[in-house]
Amino acid sequence: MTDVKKTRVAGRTLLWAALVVASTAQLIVPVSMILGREATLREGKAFHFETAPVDPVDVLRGRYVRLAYAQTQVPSATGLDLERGETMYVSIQVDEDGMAQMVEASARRPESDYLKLQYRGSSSAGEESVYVRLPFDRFYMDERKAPSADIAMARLRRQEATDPSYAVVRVRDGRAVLEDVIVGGQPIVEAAEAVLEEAESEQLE
Amino acid sequence: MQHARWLHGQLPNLVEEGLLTPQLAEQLLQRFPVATEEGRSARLVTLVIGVLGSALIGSGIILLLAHNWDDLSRAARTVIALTPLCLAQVAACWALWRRASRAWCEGVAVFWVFALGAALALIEQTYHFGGPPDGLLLRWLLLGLPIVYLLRSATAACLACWGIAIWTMMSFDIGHGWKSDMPLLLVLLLVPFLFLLRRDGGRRVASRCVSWALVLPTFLAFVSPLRLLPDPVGALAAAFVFAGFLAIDRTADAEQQRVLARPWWVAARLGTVGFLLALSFDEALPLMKAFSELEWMDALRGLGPVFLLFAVLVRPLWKRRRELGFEWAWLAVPLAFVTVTFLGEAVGEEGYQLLMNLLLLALGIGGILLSFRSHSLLQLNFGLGVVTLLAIVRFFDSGIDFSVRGVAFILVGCLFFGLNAALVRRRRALS
Repeated sequence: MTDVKKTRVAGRTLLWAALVVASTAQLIVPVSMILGREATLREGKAFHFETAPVDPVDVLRGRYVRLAYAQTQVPSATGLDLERGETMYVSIQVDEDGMAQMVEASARRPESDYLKLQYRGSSSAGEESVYVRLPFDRFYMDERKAPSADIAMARLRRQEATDPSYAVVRVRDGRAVLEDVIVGGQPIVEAAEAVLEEAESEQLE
Repeated sequence: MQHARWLHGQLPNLVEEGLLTPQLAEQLLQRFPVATEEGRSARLVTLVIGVLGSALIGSGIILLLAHNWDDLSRAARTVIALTPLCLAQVAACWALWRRASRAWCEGVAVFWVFALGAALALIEQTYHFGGPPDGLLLRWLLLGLPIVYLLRSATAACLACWGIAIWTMMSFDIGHGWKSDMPLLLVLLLVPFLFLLRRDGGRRVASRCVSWALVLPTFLAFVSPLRLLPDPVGALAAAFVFAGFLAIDRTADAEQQRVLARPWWVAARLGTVGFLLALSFDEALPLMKAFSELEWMDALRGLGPVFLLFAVLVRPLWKRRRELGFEWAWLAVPLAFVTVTFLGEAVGEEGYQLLMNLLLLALGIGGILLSFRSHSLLQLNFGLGVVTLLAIVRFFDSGIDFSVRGVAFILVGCLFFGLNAALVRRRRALS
């Protein structure tokens, strides 16, 4: 085989090797994302975070309801000294109403249940506390049902219902996966379907 | 392809010198054909149709997946998410195995890019990933960049450039700047592809398209220290980046005169003028003060990549300095900008603004004068454009009498017509 041919063959071999590596990486990354979250959903502990959804659209991922959480600040542990974007550990406990409360933000992993979040800065309040933004702030839904979910939520607020709406979140080793959103005692998808059916029957009448 | 063209050019001489017989020359012509203009146009049309078709199919897949199928289980959605991606990878293997045409490779590459994005998007949708989509976009970019090189796809490269620009703008944190050097890394990963395209002489159109697409992400990548103006480090970075763009233009195909073939020249000129103009307003005056309070060691650290780029690009041009002439003025703009800013501290705010305006005027007039040496209508009209823009902008914020402004505008308009006519006459006389 001539030198030119040898170079060409080596080039082709390298190209095929690169194709295999790139294709494998493109499959491994999504699969590892799935496996990590499936493990959290299967083995994680469920917490209820009180919320109030709003309904926008994500161009790439579709229609969703945005979840705003009541608790946006957490007391910080003494001597917490982090840069913006660094990891902080926020310990969580369940209160007497069964809702999850974030108790303390610290630079070290606590013994109890915790969330791994990004440090976003100290709050301007008098006592030492930090801002938190919970990562499970989107619940993706069928584009026909998402607006109805918003209507269901608005009704709940107007009726001053005793059952608050909340997000069911599975937590494992600091990682959180949003499992469901409960509105008026039922899953948000069912609440939205009920609103849709009501609207359709009103139209027929 | 460029070798075949060279051979076609040499064969008549070789036959004339008796080194080759006409029959042998004919056989060589047939053995190494060169694409005719018609053939090239037909291939371009096929390529564009292939790319559009793949883009539409890919976009349709994403829209279908964005529909949110509540009734499907997570397992079913995972299979649906990964199936187009696997099909695209098989198609890529086929394209490489069969050494498919450029149209097929581009089409497969575009389909592969969209299938990858759709897979990642559906998984994030299924597991309710929170936050803005910049994380998704970054994963898409990093996993999708190899597609550009594997299929040598200019379309995939352009998509990657736009993706980098969008991701960079999305990840900008107002008040804090960019969180990492990722924009710079992403751009550096794409730059070798541009060199590959230029080496393959038959892909000039592809090379130009990728160059145009690469301008914005390159600018964003190098001004990463920019936070909120007035920020002296960001302003310095911008000045050096625009000068660096001019140097890129000069090291590339500098003989081309058509604007479409010179994206770096266009970006350098427009960017420099816009940048200096912005700094001539009252709102930019705090920048002058910020320079005196600058921590220069921190600034040098932040500007390191920019200085390196500038030094690497300008060094080979130093040997051609006589040939470049007035272009050196544009390359020296960063230095002029720093000088004006420091002088401004000494002469006060009005003096600083006057100096900025004089700098812009000098660039405009210099361009006009240079155009008569190079006989370039583009240079002439660009210079006139700078002068006109300066006049218009100052029209709105100066206290000069309306009649004076009116006369000034008439004069500039007459200059436009007069100088263009003079240059056209000179070019006709020379040709």
